Amino acid sequence: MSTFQIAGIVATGLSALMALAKIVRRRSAWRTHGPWAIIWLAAMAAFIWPDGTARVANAVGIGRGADLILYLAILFGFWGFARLSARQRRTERELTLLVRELAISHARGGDASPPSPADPAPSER
Amino acid sequence: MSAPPRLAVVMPAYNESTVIGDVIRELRAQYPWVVVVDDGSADTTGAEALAAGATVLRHWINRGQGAALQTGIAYALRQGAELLVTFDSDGQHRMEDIPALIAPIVAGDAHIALGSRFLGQKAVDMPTTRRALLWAARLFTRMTSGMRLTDTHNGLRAFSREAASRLDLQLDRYAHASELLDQIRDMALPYVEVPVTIRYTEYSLGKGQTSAGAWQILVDYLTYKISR
Repeated sequence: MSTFQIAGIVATGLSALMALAKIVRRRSAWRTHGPWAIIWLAAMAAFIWPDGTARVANAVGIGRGADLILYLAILFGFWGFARLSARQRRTERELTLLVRELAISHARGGDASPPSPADPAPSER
Repeated sequence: MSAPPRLAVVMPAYNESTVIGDVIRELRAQYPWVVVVDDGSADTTGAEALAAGATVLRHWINRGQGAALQTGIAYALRQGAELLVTFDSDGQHRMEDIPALIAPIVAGDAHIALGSRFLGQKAVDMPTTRRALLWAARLFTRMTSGMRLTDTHNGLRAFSREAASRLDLQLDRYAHASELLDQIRDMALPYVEVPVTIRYTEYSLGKGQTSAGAWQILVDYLTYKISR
């Protein structure tokens, strides 16, 4: 086993342990940390059995294990970007709602309440 | 003609200190209730509007024209407005067009009136590039919303209280114009187009949308449609 493999196994193993610990501490955390635990465990398995990626790749019609990992990384990147974009849109929306309420509550001047039908237009005063 | 009761003119504004005072004073001669939403302007837009007699709401940070419009509409509705007119603050719109704009709503024939510069000879000094851009916008609207309108990006519009209360613009920036048309379509309330005049001046053209900005609007709108 190479130094790179050992380092990879340790890094991914620790990351998987941290994710699992969060789930054990709080069951509801499985939604966020469950997928990560699976990803880290899969990565650790790939470091332990590098030939395994080639077998999986062949099974799904992709030539090399490295290509499979690359495709999965790209998909994961797109997914992460989509999630971040959605979160940013939600934050922008909340910011607008907050700014709106502040603006409304601090309205100034003019006819802050609607003119009564009895009020003449300024040109008639 | 004196203003119908409870009519609010809603004006989003961003860095319009040069002209907004004159625009408001002209408006208030006939329509006393003018609501200006200062969208985080860096100049004295808010102060000028206040001095001209408008009710001023200030976005502490810039959120975009769509956001400012929705803020003004929300405020006017909460204050009891029964008829709302949206009006640009850069002097492009004419107060003289408001009576014809609101007439179908007052008569009960429609809930929404959309100003159109292309109905009749109403586009004064419009640059060719702007005409081409608006033609493309018209085509885009037909494809995405199915609405056959002659002018899809005109800020001079009128709404009954019922129609205005159903508006909920989510797009803060310029793409709100397309979203607004989608919402009008979904309301299934009667709407009409009314001829209005747009005054193109060097000042107003400098504030208008660029071709590059149009691409950003397209991206914003398509992203919004996909994410719904």
